[in-house]
Amino acid sequence: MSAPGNRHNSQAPGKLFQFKLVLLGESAVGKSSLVLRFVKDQFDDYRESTIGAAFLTQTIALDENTTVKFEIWDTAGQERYKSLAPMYYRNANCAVVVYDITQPSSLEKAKSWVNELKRQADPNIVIALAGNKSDLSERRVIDTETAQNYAADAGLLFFETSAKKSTNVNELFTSIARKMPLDQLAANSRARGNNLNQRGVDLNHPVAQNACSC
Amino acid sequence: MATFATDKDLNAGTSQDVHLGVNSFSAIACVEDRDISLATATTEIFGRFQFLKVILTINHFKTLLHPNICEYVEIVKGKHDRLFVIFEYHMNQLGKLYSRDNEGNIQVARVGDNMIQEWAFQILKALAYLNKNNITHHNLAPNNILLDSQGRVKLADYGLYFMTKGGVNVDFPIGYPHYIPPEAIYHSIDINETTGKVDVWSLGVILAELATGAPFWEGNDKDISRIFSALWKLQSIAEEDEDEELWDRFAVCQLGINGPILDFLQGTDDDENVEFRKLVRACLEVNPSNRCSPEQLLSHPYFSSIYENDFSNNYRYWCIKPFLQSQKFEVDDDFLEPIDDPQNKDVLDGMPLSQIYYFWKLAGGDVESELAKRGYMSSTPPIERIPRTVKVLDGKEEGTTKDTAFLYSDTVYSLSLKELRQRLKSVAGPNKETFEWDTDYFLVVDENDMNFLVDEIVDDENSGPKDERLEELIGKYLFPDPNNNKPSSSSVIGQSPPPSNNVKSPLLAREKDVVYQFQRVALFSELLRQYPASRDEIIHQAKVDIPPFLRGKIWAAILGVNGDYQTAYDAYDKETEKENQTDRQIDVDVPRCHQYHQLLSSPVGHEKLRRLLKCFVAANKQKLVYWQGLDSLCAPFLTLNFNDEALAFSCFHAFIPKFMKDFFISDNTPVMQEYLAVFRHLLSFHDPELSRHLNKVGYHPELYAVPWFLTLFTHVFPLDKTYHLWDKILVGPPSLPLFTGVSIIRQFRDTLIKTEFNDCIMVAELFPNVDIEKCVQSALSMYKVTPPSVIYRVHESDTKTGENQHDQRWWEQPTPIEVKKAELTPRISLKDLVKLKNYVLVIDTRTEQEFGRGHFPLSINMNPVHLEQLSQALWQEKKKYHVVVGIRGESGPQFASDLVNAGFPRVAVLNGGIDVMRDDGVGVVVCTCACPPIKAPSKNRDVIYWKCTQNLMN
Repeated sequence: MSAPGNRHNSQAPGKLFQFKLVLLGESAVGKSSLVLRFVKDQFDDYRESTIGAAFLTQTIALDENTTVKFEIWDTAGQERYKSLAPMYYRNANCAVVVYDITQPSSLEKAKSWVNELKRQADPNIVIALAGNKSDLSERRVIDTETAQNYAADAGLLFFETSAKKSTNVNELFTSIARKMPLDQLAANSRARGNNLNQRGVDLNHPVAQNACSC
Repeated sequence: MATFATDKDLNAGTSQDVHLGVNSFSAIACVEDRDISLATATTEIFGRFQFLKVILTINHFKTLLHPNICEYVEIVKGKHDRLFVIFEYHMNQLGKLYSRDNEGNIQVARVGDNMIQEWAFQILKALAYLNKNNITHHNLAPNNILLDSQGRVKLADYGLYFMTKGGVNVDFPIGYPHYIPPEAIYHSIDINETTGKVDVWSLGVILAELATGAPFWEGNDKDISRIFSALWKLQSIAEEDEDEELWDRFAVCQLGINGPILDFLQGTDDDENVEFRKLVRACLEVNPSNRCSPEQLLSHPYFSSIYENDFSNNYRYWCIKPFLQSQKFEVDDDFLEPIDDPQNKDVLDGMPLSQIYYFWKLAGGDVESELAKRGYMSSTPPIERIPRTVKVLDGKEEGTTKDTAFLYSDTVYSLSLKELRQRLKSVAGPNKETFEWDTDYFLVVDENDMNFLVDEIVDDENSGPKDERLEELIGKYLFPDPNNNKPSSSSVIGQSPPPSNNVKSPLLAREKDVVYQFQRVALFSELLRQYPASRDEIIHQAKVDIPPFLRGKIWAAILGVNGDYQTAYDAYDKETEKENQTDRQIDVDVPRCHQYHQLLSSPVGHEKLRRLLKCFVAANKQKLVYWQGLDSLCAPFLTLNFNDEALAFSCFHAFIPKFMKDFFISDNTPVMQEYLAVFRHLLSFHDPELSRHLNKVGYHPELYAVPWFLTLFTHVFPLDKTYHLWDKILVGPPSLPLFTGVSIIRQFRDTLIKTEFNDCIMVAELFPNVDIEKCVQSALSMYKVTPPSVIYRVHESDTKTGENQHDQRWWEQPTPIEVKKAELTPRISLKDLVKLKNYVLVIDTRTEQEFGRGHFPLSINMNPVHLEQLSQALWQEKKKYHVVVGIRGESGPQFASDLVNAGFPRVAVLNGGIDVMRDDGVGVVVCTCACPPIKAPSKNRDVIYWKCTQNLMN
């Protein structure tokens, strides 16, 4: 169990940053399981497939003065639902692209998501690559190095995770939070004022939303 | 009829003297390979058990009913994963011929040769039948050869070996040592070996015992190891190359086989029974590859006398085509005579066993507690069960004592049906026959429960609050039920007998009421028997409620499944493995679809769901594709028809075009977007305040409602709730799911209206907790008052063609999806507007001059910008509907959203604006009155509006 003590319930003094995070990746790689582990510290062998998308939030404390709240959009993995994806990633501040270390095709799919994000999403988006199911090492087909090199080339954060064994899950999200340009965002949001009403997902009207300091 | 009825259903009356037996065992804790297959042994057994149920129940076309085997009814999981198998049981059995004398030696009572011959023949027939279904009994012994009241053989316990995967899933050996063949000792038998030769040996032993009156093995019957070593030796003796007949050899005589048995086998007793001896010796052929199969033995000369007469069989096979009950009538005086005195008739007589068991449970029966009551499974305290020795290296546990709660026992307990009989006796009395056609009884129920579907609402001044009644009448007048099928036998409401109390009770209470269910099942069984002729009546009755016991078949009937669906299903390719996206997707989705469900989580369940989905893809080639979510959608049909895949598929196949047309084309974006837009319109129409709030916080249907509609709520609700919801959706109009969505969200309106986006979306987690019955009722009452043009969709089902398609005038063209999406309110057709005339406030937003040139009678003309000042005046009109009329519908939508945001209910825009009125044949008289302006007081300055007062409509 890794550092659940890291979590606070938003009452921490100091700054609260709010980020929209989107999970993308092939079907059945464990996107929903990663979120479930991160948000509720649970694991479900028979997690139902996600249709459309699911939404969850989780708040973590980075240090005494900084709290980060993730608004997480967990998307459906099937290729057919791809047309819905832009709705979820359009204003995302960060993305976790997940593949399954036991499925060779899933890394390819992850790469194509990364490309799409780089083309279509916010240019400042922070992307992390997560190789999930690291507990199934005996069935591994994608070795760490391959993925690591790719991530380094593409400028992504990289973790091998196991939602089942709770390996590297909190580390993954914490690293993302740390990589966010917090100071800059704080300054921006002060300049623009609070923008709390514009929340969630962009359907028709693109809204620039980053963070606020409270 | 026969589509959904079995031969057993048709020829009721054979079940007298049948008992429900229970027998129990435990599965091993888990199967190997747990990481890959998450199924436990228990789950595997559940899945395989379903196949056993099929053999004698509902697998029409494929298998035949067999008179010589006991039906498997149900498998139940108790505490500690203990399994209880419920099956047809008869008190008489061959085991009763066996007894012990004073010295403890086993004796076998002698019976007549004819009887032995008859039994042997029937046992072989049963074994051959099982073989054909790839089942080996593997456990054959006198105590599971039962005899029914007519003395017919009924094999029991034949499924244990099969359902436990050849004993892999259990910790105990299967097979009675006295009756197992030599090969069972020297090598493990292939589980897939289903030639039945093992059983033939056992039969040989039994027959020899019956013939001689002596047990096959001499001495102490507890000494199993002696038998095992004897079998082992017998095997090697048989392999020796000798001329002498096996049973004559000296070595064989030393094995501990009883003298009389050996005499019989050697043929030294007498020679009367040459053929019989030959048969027994054929059964006891040591080498299994030389041993005959049951099928082969049936044509043994020993049976020549029976075989010729056997074609009578007295068993009618499946009836493939519908036939009239009257065809079975013969002009026969006797036929009219024996009408049983209903008072003395057994209520359970002729009822399928599964149904008896179902009622037994409803009446409070519980297998586990029933057995506990009788002292079975008196469990040892856990401390006593701790192993006395440690585990040894190879992982085997030594010294563990298991008590009766964990071991297998072949004791069979018969469930007492006395209480059930008593409870049902009162209802099954003399009124039974008239009851079956007494549909008025249910129409009365309908009135309070589901009256939108009743054709005629009785004008009863006393009914309901004024407001609701008004809506009801509008609804009835305006929007008749599209499934308006007058049931054949319904008559005037109000002349029927008073409804009993239970029909007014909540659905869940009704489902647990054994008397009520007994009546409903009787009614629906009768109707199903007459399907498809009775389809309208079935739909009519199903609107009240659907008895869970018959749900699968009733759904099939409602969906109109008919004909030889099995052949159709068989024709699709479901097996070929393809290396494509679709197959891979199905493979990853199936093992996580509703896995809390016992059957769906079993390996058999996975295989079946996979086949159904692949069949869906094959059957809809080039039209529909596999979308994630189809797995959830298919699940209810599979669980309800687990033993009839073809029926499950046909229902699934019929369901999708009706309720989800084009949802699964490869680019379904326009379809879904339109659907969600209409959903948003409906929400604004019926709950403007909530709609405004959700709109404000950005909680759009796209974010939460996709899984609702794409899976018709199966992804949201557990299966038991889905059943209840679909019971209503199936008999409702195709747009009912939309209304259901609105009523689900409205159940949480109090929470939603107070919260911001993040919390709103968290409420979604509560959605599975909705009260389905309330939800459906509210959906129906909204449906009743919603004009059809409001919910019109281009992509709607074919079964309901909108009138718009025939009109080619510009305003009758379907509204483009982009426009629909952008608008908060729906559009209404002129035709519907006219029907609403007494309840609607028409608000005309054109200029004063244009208004003067012609307007809708009784409408109000105002400048849209004055809404705030004039809303008071609009509210005072107290109208239930608000329709905006603009120029060509252009200025209308914005103003209509303003009305929604101001909280006005049932706001719509007249599609086509004022132009429609000039050019339509609906017969609206355009009013050209010059009404005086009305001043409305306001803070800054008065605003002016006009109101037409000439009611030309009447």
